[in-house]
Amino acid sequence: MEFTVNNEARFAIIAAFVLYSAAMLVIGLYSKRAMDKTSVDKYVEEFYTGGRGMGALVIALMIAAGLCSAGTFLGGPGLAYSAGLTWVLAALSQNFMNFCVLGEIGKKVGIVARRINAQSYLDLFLYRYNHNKMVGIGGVIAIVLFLGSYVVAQFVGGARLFESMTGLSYLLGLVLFSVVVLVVAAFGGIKGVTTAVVLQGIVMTAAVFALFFGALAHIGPLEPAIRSIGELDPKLISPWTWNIKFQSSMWIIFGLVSIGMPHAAMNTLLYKDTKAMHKAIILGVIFVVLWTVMLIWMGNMVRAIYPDLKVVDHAVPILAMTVLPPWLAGIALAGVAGAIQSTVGAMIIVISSSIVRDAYQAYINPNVSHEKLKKVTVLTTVITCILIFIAAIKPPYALEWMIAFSMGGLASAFFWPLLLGLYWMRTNEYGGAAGMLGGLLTYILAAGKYLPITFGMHAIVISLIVSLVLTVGVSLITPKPPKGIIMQWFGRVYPKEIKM
Amino acid sequence: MNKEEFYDRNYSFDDIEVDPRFIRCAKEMKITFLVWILFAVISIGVSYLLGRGDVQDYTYVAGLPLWWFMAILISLLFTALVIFITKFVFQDMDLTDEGSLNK
Repeated sequence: MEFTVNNEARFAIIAAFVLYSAAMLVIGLYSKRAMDKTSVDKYVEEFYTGGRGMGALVIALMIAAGLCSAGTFLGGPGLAYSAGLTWVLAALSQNFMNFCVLGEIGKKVGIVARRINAQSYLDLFLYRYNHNKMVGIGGVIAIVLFLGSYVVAQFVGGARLFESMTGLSYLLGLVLFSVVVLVVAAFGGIKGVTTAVVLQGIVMTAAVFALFFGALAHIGPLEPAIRSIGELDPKLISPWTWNIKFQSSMWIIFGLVSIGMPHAAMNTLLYKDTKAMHKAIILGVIFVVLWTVMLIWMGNMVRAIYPDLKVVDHAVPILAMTVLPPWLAGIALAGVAGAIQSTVGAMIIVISSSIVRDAYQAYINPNVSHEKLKKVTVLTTVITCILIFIAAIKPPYALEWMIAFSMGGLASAFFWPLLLGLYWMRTNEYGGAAGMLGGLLTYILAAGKYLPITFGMHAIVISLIVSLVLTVGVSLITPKPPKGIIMQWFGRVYPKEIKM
Repeated sequence: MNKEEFYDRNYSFDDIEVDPRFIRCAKEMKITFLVWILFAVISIGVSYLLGRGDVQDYTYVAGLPLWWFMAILISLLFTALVIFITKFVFQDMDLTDEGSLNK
């Protein structure tokens, strides 16, 4: 079945959505004013890392809302509807993403970033790997392509949802989504994105609570409802619908490798001190556990109400229409928009910082003046937003799989080179480059089914193995990394400047 | 340090005095991986063990199939564990250039 919305409900939904978007624009413009006051020589630092002064709530939500995108709010519940509870079990793997990201690399990156003045995720690779061109250029291309396509998928999902819930056109939805992101991210920089994320996180949490308790009240006693889903198709409530090998690889991609996600790991560059970092773990874990369990699970429970949805990604919107009064359904839509925009905002910062810092400033024009760099920063971010908007006008198909594809590509490229670079002295630029490109290439070959090398698991598993072997192997057969770099990244004292 | 020394590749790692903060970081990294892997293994193991057999014969607890009830419970228990570790095992430290381990 498809869902229908009566006019009165439409009006309430549009009103709630417009109100939410207006609040976002105010935040964006306010952040733009703050950025306008920033002195030009500090502009790039303020734009990308906000002077490393972010507090616990911001960091917690930047990781949580940054990683929880349309995947958690639309695609995830949709897959719970179509594939069943076995996927909801796999989704639990994302519960501790804040703990994983910050616990695995948070403090080490925090110290090193202050030493080398890192302004982007890729900066970490560039400095650790001796400004190797393969690492830098390969990294920039991977980030632009994969995060770019991920962002497009997010916009498409958001605009489609807007279309079906308001009855207005897809294009209008796309424009509304893009303008908010453009103003917040391109004009407000990381300040805009981090201020917006707090409001987005609150709206997302409100939406999740409303949907969860609304659904439970509507469904009534759980046992008969779940039994009825099992009678529909036993596969929907058994973990064995996916074999253990496949289930485990889902845990690896959605849980274990989150530091390979640039938009999540970049937050290790932003936090103020370790107290804020620890609080960000605790807060973030609570947010994500609530969102995951309450929302993705409800996608499965929608089966008890509507056994035959045509578009599975509509599981949450249709649930909102059914169990909530219109104005609350409007908040649910705003919650989805918040999930999408928070992710997209963080990603656009990553894409822009990679291009400006790690392609333009590192290789094209190292001696760029502060004024010019400021212009390049804003222009790059605006152009990124516009290109993504154009790509989203003619949308690609199948949201969740595209998300899985881009996450896997990035994780395959970055996970081992980042982790080993941080904790194993012997890793050098040759190993780093081989691990990145080898992991990425393997992923494309395996996930695209060009080579039958997945052995019944997700392509991520074989790609991570290849990347690990290459990073370690190539490092060992080539010379040690430069001494100065190792002192920066491991030493108690380190060279502050290099005399020519 | 001059350029030649900085880019020297013939040296011993033992010559570099490792910052005690980084040793601590490595330890916390290992703890994090260990906890997450335990969480994954226990969640998957318990769910697949309890979720065997015909779904019509499932035991229900609090309205949920036992395996799913346990999966949620394990997530909640690990939430408590993660909070405990963050509060009492992870250490505060100075993040400045050559700061000290004990803040």
